[in-house]
Amino acid sequence: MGDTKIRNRMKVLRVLNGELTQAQLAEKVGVTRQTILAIETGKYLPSLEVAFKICRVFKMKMEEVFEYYE
Amino acid sequence: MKTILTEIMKEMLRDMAKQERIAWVVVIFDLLIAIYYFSHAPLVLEAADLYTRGMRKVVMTCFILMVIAEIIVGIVSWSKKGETVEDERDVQIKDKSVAVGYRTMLGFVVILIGHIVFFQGMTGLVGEENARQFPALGELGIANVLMGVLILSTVAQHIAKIFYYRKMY
Repeated sequence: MGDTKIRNRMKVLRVLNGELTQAQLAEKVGVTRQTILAIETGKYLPSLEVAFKICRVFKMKMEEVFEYYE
Repeated sequence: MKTILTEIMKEMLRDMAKQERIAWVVVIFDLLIAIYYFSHAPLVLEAADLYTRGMRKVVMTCFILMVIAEIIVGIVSWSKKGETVEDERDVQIKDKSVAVGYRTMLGFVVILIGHIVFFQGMTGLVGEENARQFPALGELGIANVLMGVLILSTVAQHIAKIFYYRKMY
């Protein structure tokens, strides 16, 4: 899980979405703030369900938030 | 210097998941209980009467330490109304760390059973006189070893949990 090949733009998107805090995003998604932090730093890969919920908060498609690289 | 350290500590605690904080409390108290118990209780192989005054005091102190640990765990795990206490990441880490704790416990119990069976079998193999040279565990000895195994498996479980929170998830 540590060396994930999936990057995300969550930190940038939070700022672009009215300076959304990790705690606010966590509340909207239904996870803990520490999980949002772990996802942002690439330590944890969320389930599809949580990933979709995050995309829904940002009103974006999956590939606009998460990116897979070789 | 003190302020910087306090700030670092505050930040660490802020980014620490509730379950990780609980794991730290459990590990610290389990180790305290283990150190206290095994430094005061009679040695495993020379265990005396469980009902002696000294042993009663040791068991009572351990019980009080466990109650204090539970109170602190209760305080640490207190959450605001509507706050997410546990999510999918916590569940995944819990499952993995419970597996570590279970395997540790199973391993040590198998070793203990092996020890008992081996030394029982020794009597038949080498005769009662020779078998006596090898230390066998008495009832309280086995209870002490089991207590050690339980503490060890709980500590292993919670250290694994802290490791997963820090490094892997």
